[in-house]
Amino acid sequence: MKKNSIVLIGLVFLMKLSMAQSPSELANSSAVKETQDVSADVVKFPEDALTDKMTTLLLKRGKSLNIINQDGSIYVIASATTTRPSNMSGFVFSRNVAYNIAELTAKMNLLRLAGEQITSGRGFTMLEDIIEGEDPDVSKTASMLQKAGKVIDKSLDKALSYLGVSDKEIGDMNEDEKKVIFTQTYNETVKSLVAGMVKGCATVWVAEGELGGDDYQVSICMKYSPEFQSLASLIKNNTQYQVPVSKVQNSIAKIEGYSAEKMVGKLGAKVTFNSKGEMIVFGFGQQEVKTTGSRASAAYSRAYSKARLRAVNNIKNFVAEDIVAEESITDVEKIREYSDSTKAYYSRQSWEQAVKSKSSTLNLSTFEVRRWKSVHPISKQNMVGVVVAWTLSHKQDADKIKESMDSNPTSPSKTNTTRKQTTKSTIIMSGEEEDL
Amino acid sequence: MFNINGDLFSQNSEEVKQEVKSNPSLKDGGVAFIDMNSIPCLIVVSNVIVGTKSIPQLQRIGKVKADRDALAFINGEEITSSIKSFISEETIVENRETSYKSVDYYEETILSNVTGFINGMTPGGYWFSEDKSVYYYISYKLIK
Repeated sequence: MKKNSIVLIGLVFLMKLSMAQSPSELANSSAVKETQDVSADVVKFPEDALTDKMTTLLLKRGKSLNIINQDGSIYVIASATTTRPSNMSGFVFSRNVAYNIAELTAKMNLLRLAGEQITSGRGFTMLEDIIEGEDPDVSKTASMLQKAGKVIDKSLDKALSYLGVSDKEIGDMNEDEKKVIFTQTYNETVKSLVAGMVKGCATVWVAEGELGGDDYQVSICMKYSPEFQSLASLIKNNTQYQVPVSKVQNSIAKIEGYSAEKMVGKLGAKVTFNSKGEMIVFGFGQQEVKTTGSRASAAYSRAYSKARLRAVNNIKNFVAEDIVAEESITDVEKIREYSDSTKAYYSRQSWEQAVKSKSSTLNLSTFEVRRWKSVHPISKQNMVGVVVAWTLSHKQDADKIKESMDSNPTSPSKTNTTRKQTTKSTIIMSGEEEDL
Repeated sequence: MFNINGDLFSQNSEEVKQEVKSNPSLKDGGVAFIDMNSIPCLIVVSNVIVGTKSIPQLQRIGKVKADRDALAFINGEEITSSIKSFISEETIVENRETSYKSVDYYEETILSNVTGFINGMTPGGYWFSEDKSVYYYISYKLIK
């Protein structure tokens, strides 16, 4: 009987074992399914999308990002994140700031291609100090002052306790410095400095988007080229340089024809050609509109003025921007092991980046191409934009108007004759006999 | 349509004003160089926030602003700007406690300055926005 029961138990056990190990069951078990359902959670940022797009587009033209291409052009990408979430007021302003930070970062990276000054230093110390027993030469009789010190110390502890300080705090104050048996310290500092005048750098592509979790990124691709630099010099120095003429593009008509929603994505400065085939620089400015229900026209009017000023400033930044950029990283790590087997760990990583665009002045003669108003597609906040442009022909027309308005009547021409000596004339006498 | 020997806006002034108001470059304020009956004409529309100002005050300010805009169009404007951007990040680990601190600082200044002398600008009328909060002033000059 006992033997039969053992056999039965064994059979049941074997059956359960075979069922548990069935591959199909294993495959359908929740533990396996959980591992199969796990997918890589990689978020694609606007910067990544823009990098992929620009890499593909430039490759078709035999060019690349972040290098000096054969025609002397350089394309760089930089990004920044807004500080205000897209569903809060002030978002459009924060987006403008993010764009400007991205533009400064792109120009800093451009300057770095030409060279940067690196200052760095690093070092570490290591110490091991294991002691066994007591040094017989160390112990000596306590002096009177040491005894008096102990009395004062104990009295102070009692006073602190009376005043309400906890025993734990008093204990921490009285804790002896622990004996260190092992210590290791590492520190490293790296600093980068770059400075220069960036001329002829314009925006060619903008990618932006909400990533969720109050994370909105603005990513831009900027282009520098020798032609842009020549155009910038022309604008700045007002020289008679012959602007390169290229294929005709109805760029102004294009911008006038874009929907207001499409204009939301236009930021910074852009260089293209107009219907006469001459180079034209567009400046795009945007501003948030805060309306309170009444006097909405006034709010829009103010916003247009601010947007126009930003647009003109973007053209100025295209012409020339004097940039100084510093970046530094400092790493410190410390570890201590004590004689009581406790350990202490400390590390500090700090990173700083400071970019400054120095104050500079430029005289610009621009004309307004277009004004628009819309709502931001993601944040649904009211905003306005202004597009201004600079062309050589407009500058020349403005100069002609100025001449026409400043013109004075012609002064009579002076005859240039040589003076001759005087000749004798009659004597003129005047007086009254009555006065005699 | 217009009396080109006299004031441009003295005859059919409402029609001319409507034409200016419907011009996309001028309806919210701006400067445009327009051909009126083959005569080139510089038309400037300035805008003034009404607030508590009287009509004479609005006219005076409107005229000054229009002259300023015309000068900016002809002479150009001096733009002075600067930017400061500072970003820092610090992570400190002490045994099992981690602290993180981040600082973002951004400061931008843009200044526009227009200087010069302008003469011969003629007043061309005015209108108010629908909610009466903005006053638009027209001035023009025929360019010979």
